[in-house]
Amino acid sequence: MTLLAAMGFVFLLGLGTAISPCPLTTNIAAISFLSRNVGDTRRVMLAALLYTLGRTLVYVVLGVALLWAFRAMAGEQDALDQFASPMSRAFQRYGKLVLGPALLLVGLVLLNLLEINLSLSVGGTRLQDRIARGGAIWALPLGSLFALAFCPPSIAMFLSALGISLKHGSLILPPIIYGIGTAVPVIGFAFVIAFGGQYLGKSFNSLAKVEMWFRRTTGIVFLLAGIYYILKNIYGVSIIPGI
Amino acid sequence: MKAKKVIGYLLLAFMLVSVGFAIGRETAPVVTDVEQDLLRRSADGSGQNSKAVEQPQEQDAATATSDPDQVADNSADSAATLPAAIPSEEKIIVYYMHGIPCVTCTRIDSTAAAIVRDEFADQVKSGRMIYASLNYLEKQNEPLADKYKVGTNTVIVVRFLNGQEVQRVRLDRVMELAAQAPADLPGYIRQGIRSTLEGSNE
Repeated sequence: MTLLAAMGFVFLLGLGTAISPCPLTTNIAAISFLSRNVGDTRRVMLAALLYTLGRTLVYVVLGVALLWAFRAMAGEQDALDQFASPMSRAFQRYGKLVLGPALLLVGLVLLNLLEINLSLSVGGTRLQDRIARGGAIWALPLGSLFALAFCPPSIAMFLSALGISLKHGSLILPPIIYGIGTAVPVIGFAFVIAFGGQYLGKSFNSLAKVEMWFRRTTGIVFLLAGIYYILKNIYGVSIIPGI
Repeated sequence: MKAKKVIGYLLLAFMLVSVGFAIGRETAPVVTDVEQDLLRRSADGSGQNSKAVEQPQEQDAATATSDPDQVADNSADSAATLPAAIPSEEKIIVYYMHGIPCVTCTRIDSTAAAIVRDEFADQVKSGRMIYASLNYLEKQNEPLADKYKVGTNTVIVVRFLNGQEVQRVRLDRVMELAAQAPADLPGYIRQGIRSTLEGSNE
């Protein structure tokens, strides 16, 4: 397999990760978050870029650390997925516990439901207001958080991508391509929704109103996603039958 | 405005309680040898479980049974009622190790359970073969996940003689097949189990 073909395959692995049913809830939350600044095309694009960067950073850091450790410590008979098994389990275990509370907290902030006068002040403005108003920079930690929330199909595909890193001796490129692949479907949907909303707002001459509803919807999506993950991952409640 | 504030506080309280609950559960001590438990269980009345209850997959520490339709309680209480002796005979445990439940993962579980139940009915009936679905994210299953180096969903078929492992067949491609070629999944699992039985000179 040539390097180009291998990178194409890694990109497909990223796409496969994004469209698998497992991260569906986080993807809906991400689409909602990225598309909420309906009236500001530049901000939507910047948020999409930062979201991709956040995801890719996590995959690059994890990938490089894991491959370095594998080369330094593993025996010749060891397989990468078996060598990485303690790390895989740790990310799944703690990721699933952190994800729900984090989403719920972000939802509370986005909906301005937290009226606690903590000294959350950055640059003279309350942090809560800054997040709720839609600073694109928040897409970066969001992308990283969602990338860290591994589920079984995503960890299997990430390790397959790292297998290609090993085979082609390229430590950084496969995790970057994989990260972009995982973000592309989310960004695509976010653009379609944001520009659709913009068109709708302009058509009815009420862009500000549409934008307000998009932001409220984002907050509600985060709240519901947070409650869903808390019930599922912390209390073991099976909300969707069979999974 | 007041209602908004109350909802905010309630949701914040729910979040904090949930975080506390998760920390408490993660730090609770667990002392159970799941594998020896399974071997003892199979020796108890040819795999007939003394305490069988229905439980959802996510809440199981280990769901193991000679009849995959039934799910055995793997609590410390039930372990105490089992015979202490490890069987001096051959046993095959078909492990399905999984993490967070997902659609693809559930497909592997139901396929593997059906193959063991329907195609290896004689071995199951005699108590020689056990199907065990384990969540490797549960603390009590961590030693087993370490032993078998499991970090994502997989099926492992292990043959024991006098309680000692003598053969292990890893079916690491189950996740890939379940996602990309589900029609090939049953054949792959069936072949893995058969190769273990062939290893025992059946």
